[in-house]
Amino acid sequence: MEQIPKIVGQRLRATATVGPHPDAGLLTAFVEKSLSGHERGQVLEHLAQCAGCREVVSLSLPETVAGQAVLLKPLRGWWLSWPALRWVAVAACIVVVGALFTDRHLQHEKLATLAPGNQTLSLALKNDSDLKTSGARSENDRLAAKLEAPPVAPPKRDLNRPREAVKAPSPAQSAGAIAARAAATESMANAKVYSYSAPAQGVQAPSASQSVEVATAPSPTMPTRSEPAKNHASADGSFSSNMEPRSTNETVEVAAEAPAVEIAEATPGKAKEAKKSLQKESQAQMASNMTARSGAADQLAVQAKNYSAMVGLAPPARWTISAGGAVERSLDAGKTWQPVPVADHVIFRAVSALGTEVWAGGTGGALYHSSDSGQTWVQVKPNAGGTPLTADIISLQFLDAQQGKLMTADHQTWITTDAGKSWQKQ
Amino acid sequence: MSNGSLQSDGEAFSALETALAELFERSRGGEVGLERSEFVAILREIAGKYLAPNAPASEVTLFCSSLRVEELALARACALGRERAWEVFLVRYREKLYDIAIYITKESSAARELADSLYADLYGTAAREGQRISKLASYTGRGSLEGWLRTVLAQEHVNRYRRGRRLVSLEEESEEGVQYAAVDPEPPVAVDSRVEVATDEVLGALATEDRFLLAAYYLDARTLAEIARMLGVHESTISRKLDRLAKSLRKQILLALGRKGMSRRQAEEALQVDVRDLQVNLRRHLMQEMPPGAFSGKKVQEHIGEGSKERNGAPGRLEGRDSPVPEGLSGGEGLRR
Repeated sequence: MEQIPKIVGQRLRATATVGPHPDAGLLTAFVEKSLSGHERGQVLEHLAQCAGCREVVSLSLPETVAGQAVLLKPLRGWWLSWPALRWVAVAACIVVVGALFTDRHLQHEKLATLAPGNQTLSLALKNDSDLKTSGARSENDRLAAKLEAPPVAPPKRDLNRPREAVKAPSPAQSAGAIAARAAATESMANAKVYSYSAPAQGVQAPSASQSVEVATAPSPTMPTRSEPAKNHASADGSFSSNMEPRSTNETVEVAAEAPAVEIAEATPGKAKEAKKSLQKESQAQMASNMTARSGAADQLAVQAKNYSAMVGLAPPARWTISAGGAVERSLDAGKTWQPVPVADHVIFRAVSALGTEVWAGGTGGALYHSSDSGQTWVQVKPNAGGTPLTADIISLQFLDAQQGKLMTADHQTWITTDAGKSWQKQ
Repeated sequence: MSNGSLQSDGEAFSALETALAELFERSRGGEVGLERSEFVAILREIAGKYLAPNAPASEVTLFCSSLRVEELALARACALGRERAWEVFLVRYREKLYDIAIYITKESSAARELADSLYADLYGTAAREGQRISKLASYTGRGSLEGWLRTVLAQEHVNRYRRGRRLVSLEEESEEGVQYAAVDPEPPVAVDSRVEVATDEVLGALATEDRFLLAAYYLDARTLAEIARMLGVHESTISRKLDRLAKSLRKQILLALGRKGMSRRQAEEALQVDVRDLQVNLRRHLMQEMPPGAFSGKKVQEHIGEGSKERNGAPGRLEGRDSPVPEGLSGGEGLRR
């Protein structure tokens, strides 16, 4: 950095006329950038002249900013410091994106040229391009697409059967849903396939009430990133889908929608028209249909969690207790807070979180533990020598997943060294 | 930063009934033992502090809506001594206070002392007319409560440091041989008053943010990263701005000196040479050259004193005996004492 003439520093010191200092509220608002333009200018004018207030502002900067700065630093590794390699990385990204689009285009062309009588409707995910055409084109999609499914032969359409359609789940937005689809490919071999043909003359298309039994992933409504309260996010910001765990081999009935086109008897001309319209519909359906064994729901949740942890896109969760004694969590570094249901009729007073391990304690010795960042909770009943804990818990401290300490309103201290399985009263 | 009161606050606030009801509900003041009337009085006080006396109702509504009402209700309920509020405050902020203090002081015992001291102020150990005086009563909700606690802790830390510097133990001074000297006073006369005036003109014409950058970087010796965090911009932005500033300052001062009748050469010489550069700090110079412990500070002082006596017999010479005397300055031309 170029040096300035020494006289400049001398005059800066000499001409500093410090007026009344801004109060702590204004300085805080300045640091948090919540001042109006005029007020910010006034505070900045004072800071330009007052070394003491500059020091206060510097010390009161939140440490998370520094921590994040430190965290971000390693990403700029030595290999990225070479300008040439940066451009190579950019070029590689462009090539990958171009390849994806070309592949998708080829897939669409292939579908469009399917011969009459051999059209098939696939309800399973065929390949990468299907994964990529569905949902938002986010970074999540690209990474999740790596968990690709082996190609599955699309089912053949039997023109004699009424056309059936399956109401597809809405396009997935979350990382969990994408990973869920990817993981579902394990059951591709068992996916049901349907074949249909143009029905005989006069036969109407199936009505909306006709249902088709499919084995599909649960949770037709996928959570989105914009609804963090509904997503069960872990402490490291990973998301898991709202899919509820189901027993294995359970199937779910899905209502079919009435097709938009009435299918007439298979005459060459009309059948072709019908097939073309069906092709269009099938393309739309293939984009969002999936099949999976319901037993894969557990795998999906684990994979979604691992995947999201790998990506690490969201900031770590923060926990607190509201004024009303409810457990609350923030996924945006404390800007907004969402209540997390733990237990009814308990006023919580203490919470401790370490990664995905969360402990919450409250009145009457109520102690709850979650090892999945608040998705599920288990009540823990500390008992020392036959004496259960009944006092209000006011403090919780856990050094790691195993060792923890709680304190009560009547000054009792209880310690565990095995993740709450056993407790000792001090 | 208006300190006026809302003279027509009755009108302004009566028009805000709906907004006030929403704000009170959002603040959850009832859960921490704060009455609605108390909450309204608090908002009135804060609006009066920061808004113009005759601010319209819409501006008052907008301002009140921008406050952190939930944290405001909690803090003010604590200031009023509501136990439920204190329970919540303790759960949320007791440990955070300590963590923030650790971050500021970088040392555990000092952090504990600082945090405990502030906690006592927040709780309100002093009493005036039977009423407890809590520091939380000055929280206005302009920023987050956690941020406010950071600022208050930082202020206390800076104040303690300043108080500590003024109170110097004589025993410490002689034992360690280190001079806890006060900041050296500026020499009374500059190189040339025209240089000072020109510099003042150029600095006065700078934008506020530019002066802040210069002060933070060149006076406080802060890093680019620190300054960037303070202003909420990227480090490279600060680097570019400072570089541009440094380059343009010299140029602007030279132009200003030219307008004051100096030739280009004279102006460059005047700007290049600062007589204070020639006042070699012999004390520091000698202490740096000697191995540690070889001489105490007092012996160094005596040595300097002897040197001064020698030089006093040679008028017109500068203290920096071994330093080269720049051309044109040996006779004191341009120098005024």
